[in-house]
Amino acid sequence: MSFKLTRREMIEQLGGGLGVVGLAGLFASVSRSELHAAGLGGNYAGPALPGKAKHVIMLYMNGGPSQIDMFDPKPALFKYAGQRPSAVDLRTERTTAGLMPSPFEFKRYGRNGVEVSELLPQLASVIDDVCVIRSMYTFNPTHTPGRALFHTGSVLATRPSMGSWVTYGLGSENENLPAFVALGNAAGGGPQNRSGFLPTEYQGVGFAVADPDPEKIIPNLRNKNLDAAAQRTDMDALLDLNQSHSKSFGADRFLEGRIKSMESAYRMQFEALNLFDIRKEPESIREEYGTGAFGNGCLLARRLVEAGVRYINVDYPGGQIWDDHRDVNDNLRKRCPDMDQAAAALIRDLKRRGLLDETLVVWGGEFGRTPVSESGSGRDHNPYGFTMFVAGGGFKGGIAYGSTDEFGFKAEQNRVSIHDLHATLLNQLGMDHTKLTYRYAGRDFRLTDVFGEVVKDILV
Amino acid sequence: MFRYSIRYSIAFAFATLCMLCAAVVRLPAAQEDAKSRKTVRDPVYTAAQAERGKQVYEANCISCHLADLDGSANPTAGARGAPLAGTRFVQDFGESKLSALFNKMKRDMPSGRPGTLTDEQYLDAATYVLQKNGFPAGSAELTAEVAESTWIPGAGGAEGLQNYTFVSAVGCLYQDPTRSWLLTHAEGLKQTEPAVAAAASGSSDGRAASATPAAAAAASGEPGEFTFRLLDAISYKPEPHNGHKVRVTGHMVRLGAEIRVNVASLQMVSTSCGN
Repeated sequence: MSFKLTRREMIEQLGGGLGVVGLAGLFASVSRSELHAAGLGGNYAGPALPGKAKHVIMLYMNGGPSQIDMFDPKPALFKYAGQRPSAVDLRTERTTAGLMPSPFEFKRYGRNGVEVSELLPQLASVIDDVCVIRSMYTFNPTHTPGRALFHTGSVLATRPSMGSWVTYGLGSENENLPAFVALGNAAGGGPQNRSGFLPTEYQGVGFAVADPDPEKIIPNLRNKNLDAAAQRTDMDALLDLNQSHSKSFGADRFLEGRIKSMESAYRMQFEALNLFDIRKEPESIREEYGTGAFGNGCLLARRLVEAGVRYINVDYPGGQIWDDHRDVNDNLRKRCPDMDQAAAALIRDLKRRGLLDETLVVWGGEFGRTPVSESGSGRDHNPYGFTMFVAGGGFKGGIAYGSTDEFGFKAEQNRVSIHDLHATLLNQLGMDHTKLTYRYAGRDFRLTDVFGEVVKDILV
Repeated sequence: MFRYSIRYSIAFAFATLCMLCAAVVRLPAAQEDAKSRKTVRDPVYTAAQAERGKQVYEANCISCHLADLDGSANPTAGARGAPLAGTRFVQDFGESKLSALFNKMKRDMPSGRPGTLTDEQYLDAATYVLQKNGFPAGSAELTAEVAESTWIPGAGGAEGLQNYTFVSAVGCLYQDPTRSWLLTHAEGLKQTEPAVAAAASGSSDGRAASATPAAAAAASGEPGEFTFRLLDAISYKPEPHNGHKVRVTGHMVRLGAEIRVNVASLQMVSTSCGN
């Protein structure tokens, strides 16, 4: 006879509020598998889909990288260089001039001859594991709402990020670490890591990674004044007070979130400093990723996946840096090498370790850029047609899916909205995007709102 | 009021005239400077120095930039150093002083331990890079002072042409180890009309056309000194003409100091490319 606790019973038997659940891993009174069996690992209640992915690494290029110079070759731009053909509406939010061809060379790579720019030789070398989606489109041409759409599926500044939805749905694989981690710019908050109306425990924990020293990545993590036993005594005393408070006044989800954060920080002392120390990687691996902030971030992301972290957002460093309103060619030549190196190394390394099948590596920005020039040497925002790629997690490799028009302005064939992509990613994580819901303010919310279709053509 | 405006107008016209005169006087001088300046085509290092530089390179640089100096341009090698030869070298360092290369090496290299070599070693390594890029050796060694007064030339071959001008050129078709198609030993680019180019090529199906009488005249020309990277050459099925002398038309495009041609037609004019 099997004995199965309900979620509520488990919480009650543990003798406290939700915050106590976090202690289970430490006290080992309830194993992780038992927690999952009891339904505490996640809140997704829909049918289990066959998707086998367990982790997501989102490589976020803040500002909107130029698809025309990287993934979407458009030779026709030369024929009309400097012109604005009257038959095509090329208007965007700013004043732009004529069509501006890319000066970069595209070659065919991999078994299917996917065209990739000379800017990305390393990604080109792993293209057989990459699904390039050239027909992405979104609904807003401005950074802040565009970023929110990209990460949360909504332009509103209050909605939870995809990382929060995924960890809310699937829970954690390692109670001693946050399930959702944001590396880079997101250390300061934003749609990359915000939990919105979801419980605070699903918020992404932000870390800056420019310096690989774990004491700098997680400052003040180690308590220099109290040893583990003394800290435990303090935490238990605090827990008693909180339990008394709960009995007197009822459950408070903000208090529970705070308790969980404190428990999480306490436990991280013993695992995180070791895990976050990428300097312990062999020199050859660090060389492969590169030793800049983005290389560090990608390498740390792989280590976090190995440790069971569910969702990692890695921001390319430098804020809104892919926003090339001027000097796009020079900027890309400076910026692409370390991005290319680290992103390709991540895919290669995950594959070597047998982790690529269970990890979705997603690359992109909030929109792309125009085929027409701005300021003489730059490109304006373009939400109408741009490129993203996904590697691993059951996505087909070595394909370029969809296309834009002959100038690379609007997605034309096999269009994929940001909601379609979110739906497809959730599908590969085993969740039906229409069933991953959270009741708030009187109605059920979804990451995909009322939109989104799973793009089956790009799945294995 | 009226007289006041006229006085100002005269003053403004006079000032404009002076500025124009100054520009006219300065322009030839600037052009003369560009022509007479010392470049790495004038021998600025010795063969022995380049040999020492090779040893420095092999000990400190080769793991990232590779033996052929093609670095990250060679996607199969997995190297991460910037290419130090060919068109990318021209992009990055063309129209710069040689000291820019020297200072860059000194400031950032070797990767992970910058500044750990001596000035002499950095200079020697720079001369090896020059040698690998085909710049000649002479009788005097390169010094930091000489590097400060010596220029690395840009690609050339497109003087006076605006970006995206439709051009033609004759040269040798060559696929480099990174599978890029180049037009080497080419004459300078000449502006042409797309319609004229299409008629001369005699092909409209996108394939590289074989020699026509109109093109044959170009076959006898002397080899030029320029190299242009060809964009989208693959659409014209260039493989059968690798190593042949070809006439290419297309839109010229500048990338940094490098000149490229986005191919609109490709026509073989001779199966021989000389050397």
